[in-house]
Amino acid sequence: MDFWLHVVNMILLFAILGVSLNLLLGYSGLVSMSHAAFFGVGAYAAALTARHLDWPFPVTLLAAIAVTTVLAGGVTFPALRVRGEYLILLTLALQMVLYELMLSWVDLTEGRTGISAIPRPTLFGRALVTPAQFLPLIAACAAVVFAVGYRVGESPFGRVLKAMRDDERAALAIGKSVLRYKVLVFSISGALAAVAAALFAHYQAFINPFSFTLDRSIFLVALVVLGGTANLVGTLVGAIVYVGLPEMLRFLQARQDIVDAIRDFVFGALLVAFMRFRPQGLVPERLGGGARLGTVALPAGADPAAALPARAARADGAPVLVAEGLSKSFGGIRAADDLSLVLPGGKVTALVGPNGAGKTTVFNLLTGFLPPDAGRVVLHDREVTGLPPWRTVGYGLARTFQDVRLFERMTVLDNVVAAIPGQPGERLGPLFLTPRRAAEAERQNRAKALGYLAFVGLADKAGEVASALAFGEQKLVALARLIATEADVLLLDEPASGVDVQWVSRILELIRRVAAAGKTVCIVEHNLEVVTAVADRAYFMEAGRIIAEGRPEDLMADPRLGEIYFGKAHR
Amino acid sequence: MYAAVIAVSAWGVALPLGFAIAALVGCLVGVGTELALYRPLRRVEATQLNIFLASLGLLIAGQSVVLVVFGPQARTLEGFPMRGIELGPVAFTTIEALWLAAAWVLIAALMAWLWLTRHGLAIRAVASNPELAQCVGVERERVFLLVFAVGSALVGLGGTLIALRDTASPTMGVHPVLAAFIAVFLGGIGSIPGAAVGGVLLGLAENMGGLFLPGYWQGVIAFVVLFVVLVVRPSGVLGVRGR
Amino acid sequence: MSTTQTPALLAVEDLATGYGRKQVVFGASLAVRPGEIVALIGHNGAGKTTTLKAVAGLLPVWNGRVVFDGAAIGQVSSAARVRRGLAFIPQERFVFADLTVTENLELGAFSIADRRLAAERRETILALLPVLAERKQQLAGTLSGGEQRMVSLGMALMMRPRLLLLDEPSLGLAPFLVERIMATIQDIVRREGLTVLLVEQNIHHALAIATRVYVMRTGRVILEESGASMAARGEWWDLF
Repeated sequence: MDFWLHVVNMILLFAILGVSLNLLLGYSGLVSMSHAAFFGVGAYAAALTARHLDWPFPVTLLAAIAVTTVLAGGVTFPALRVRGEYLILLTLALQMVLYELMLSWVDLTEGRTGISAIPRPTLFGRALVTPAQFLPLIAACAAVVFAVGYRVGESPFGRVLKAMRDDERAALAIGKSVLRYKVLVFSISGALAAVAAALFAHYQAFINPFSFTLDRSIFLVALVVLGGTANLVGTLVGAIVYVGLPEMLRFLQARQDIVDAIRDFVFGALLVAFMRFRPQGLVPERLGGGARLGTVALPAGADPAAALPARAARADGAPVLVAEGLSKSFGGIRAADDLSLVLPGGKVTALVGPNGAGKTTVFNLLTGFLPPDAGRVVLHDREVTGLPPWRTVGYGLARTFQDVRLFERMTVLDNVVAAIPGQPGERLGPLFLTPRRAAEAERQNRAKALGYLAFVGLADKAGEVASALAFGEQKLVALARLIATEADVLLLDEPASGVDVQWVSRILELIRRVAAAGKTVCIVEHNLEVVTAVADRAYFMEAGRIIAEGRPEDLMADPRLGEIYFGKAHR
Repeated sequence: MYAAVIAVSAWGVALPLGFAIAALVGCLVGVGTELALYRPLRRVEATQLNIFLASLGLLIAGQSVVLVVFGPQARTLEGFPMRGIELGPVAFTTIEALWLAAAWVLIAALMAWLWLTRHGLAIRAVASNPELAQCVGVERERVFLLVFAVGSALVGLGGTLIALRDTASPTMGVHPVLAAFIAVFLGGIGSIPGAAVGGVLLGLAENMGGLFLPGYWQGVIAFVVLFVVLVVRPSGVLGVRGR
Repeated sequence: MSTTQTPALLAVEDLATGYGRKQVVFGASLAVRPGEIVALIGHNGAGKTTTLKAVAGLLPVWNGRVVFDGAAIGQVSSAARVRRGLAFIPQERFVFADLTVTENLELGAFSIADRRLAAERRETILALLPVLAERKQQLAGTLSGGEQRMVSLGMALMMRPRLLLLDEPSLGLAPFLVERIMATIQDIVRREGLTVLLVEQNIHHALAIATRVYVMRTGRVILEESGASMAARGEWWDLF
């Protein structure tokens, strides 16, 4: 009986580890090959403080959490300079470094021999020794970890993580500080892993480096992926398979290392098979909003246009965004050359020009995706030059992308809700300390988002996965998401491209209504029919410079501009 | 490489033939993996992470197969006389001399093949501009297959060389491959001379580090180097720009 | 549609194509007869390059047909289309920058099985474009823009094409170079009996050598005119 309880204990421990990794890997898309090392660091922290400092169990647990959290959070900083694929290598390097340190820093860790005689925890005066006695403690910790993991992952905070995972640039564009979230999720992950680590150290009463190898890291990743990324139930299933499999193989009465090899083989083969045929894992990710949609209803007869937030909207044509002398060079090429422009409130301004004139560069400079070499950007009399994009969104300036960039694995509704600013559920404090306020805010935000979707005519698709929509519908969702940011200066990058004619008129109509509601709109467009149909004024660009401005009709009557756009006649 | 070990020690085959078998087996495994796994994955547009995990799965499964079939003990590879040589203050063995010679010869051969043959040109074309290569009729998939074949064969040879001095064990694959990875990164992805340079630099760093730092840092150096390179200059020392 | 005297070398019928999930071309139809130089113009994003790429086999045909020399080639691989006589030069990155001029030309002949024939061809082309001969061993990436264009033309000619698909051949070139390139193209067409379909944003450059013009907007071909009529319009804002 004790034997099976031991198995259950191990399953729970690995489930805890799995949850901590799933938050990183499944929810945030951050691949960490060093999780076994984090596990190890936590275990050593608990073991050493217990052995050498005689700290009792709950305190060693705290020590483990502290050390691992700092380590994990600290890893993010070098990692952030580096592209996503490189994170794998970076954490790989970290894993190997930490493992070697465990092996070789004998003075601290006693190297290969490991640390033994780790004191047992005492609860209510009794020491916990047998698996049966440990089970309630481990189960309780597992329950807490799962609850925390669930709260973090399936909340507005978790939604930002998923957005970051699906498209980091788009997450920045809707006002989320990606950096902050990465640090937070790594730290949380480290803390949860430390819980498993401390329990492990005290349970086994013995640890050595060989439990924290690269192989173990790989298996943890496999456990999470096979169980199902971004799904904690899946992680439990993964843990059951991981621990349960070798135990079942014991019945083969084979040698221990053969059993291990078979387990490895099965896991490896399963990993290959799943990646090939079912990459989402056994228990796929839950899509929020689908089932709970029933509780959100559009107020009957409401005018969707009223859903448009009217923060500081000025329809009077006064300058809302002013850019002066913006310049940017790449190598020898001047992508932007002393650019100055003004976006008047409540009007639609277009940027036109031949290929390579630098129109999208202007958007990038204005929104902070590209810091200018020189010049200023002033929004509502506030200087926003060179601020990171997520900040400028907060001040009221937001953009769309030419290639749409929706969060493909989230529902349409979640895509839009994610953009709403000021959500208490996105911050850890309110999420855990004032859950009711967060829940109420979430309810209101979902209703708001549904209103925006109704405005663009897609309320009926709210519960669908974004990747399932046609491109034209995706463009409309992106527009709804843009409006949801409550920014009043909206930059639309080629809003009418890539769709057939009937979509174009729909999009144009929406643009007109948005401007009529007081927003300041600027579009980059190549289709001059669209420009004449919707723009009040236009700037004509060439080779990084603005060379003319005026009403579209006037610009097109200018033969000089015609020469630039269509080319000079020679001979 | 295991095939070579078996062939040579158990069947008493001459060493050079053992090398050839190693190369052949390596090549077949590589080609098989590309055809059965990576190509279908690319077709369904699997993410980088998925492909990476699939290859990890293969690593784990493969290691365990070798373990079960051949047993966990390390095996020695005989057939090359090991003697000490002294050149002035420097002492090394004949096997290490073989390593040096083999490395130079193989790298030179590889570079000659890439720069002087038609197939090599095709590979460099795909590396330089995959879309244009498609436009001139170079089929990307075939080039990938070729690259896998040659690369895997080289790995087989490398493994055999290692097994000559150290022993062959089921888990021996990971460390050299990781070291190779780091060498490539250090030298710059996309540059063969860079990879060679990276390898030299890495070897120097590891061994010289052993002179100055306490023993337990030696194994770590490679990865510290990787860490530093990734953070400071992700494109590597001789890296191809624009990647 | 204009009356056809000879059967078209290339006929595109109601083509629909795009990238990944994004459809860019919703219905494009055009035809090119042997010996013609036809231009495809329109605003940025109208689908001109996409159409060309679909003809070259770099993008799939979602609907409609691409017929070359009487045979439907919608399912034929791009490498096979090269062997049938279709050569495509992309708008950007149209040379192998890390390889020498000679190597670039050699790659053009990749699909030609007879190596001697390929070598002869290379000599012919070097004679045709002397500027390349001077720079044979230089890395293509170090050449000037105009010289790189010449290399790309040379590469295309090595493929012994019957139909040349050019994507904005004048992009980024100084005016006098454009004249040279366009003149070279005309020259080559005459001498080798080629047919050309080119995409251009610069209408004047297109009209300099094209005898017929198709206009695309928002993914569809909206107009076909002779070069002369198009030039006579004087301004084209309403077409873009």
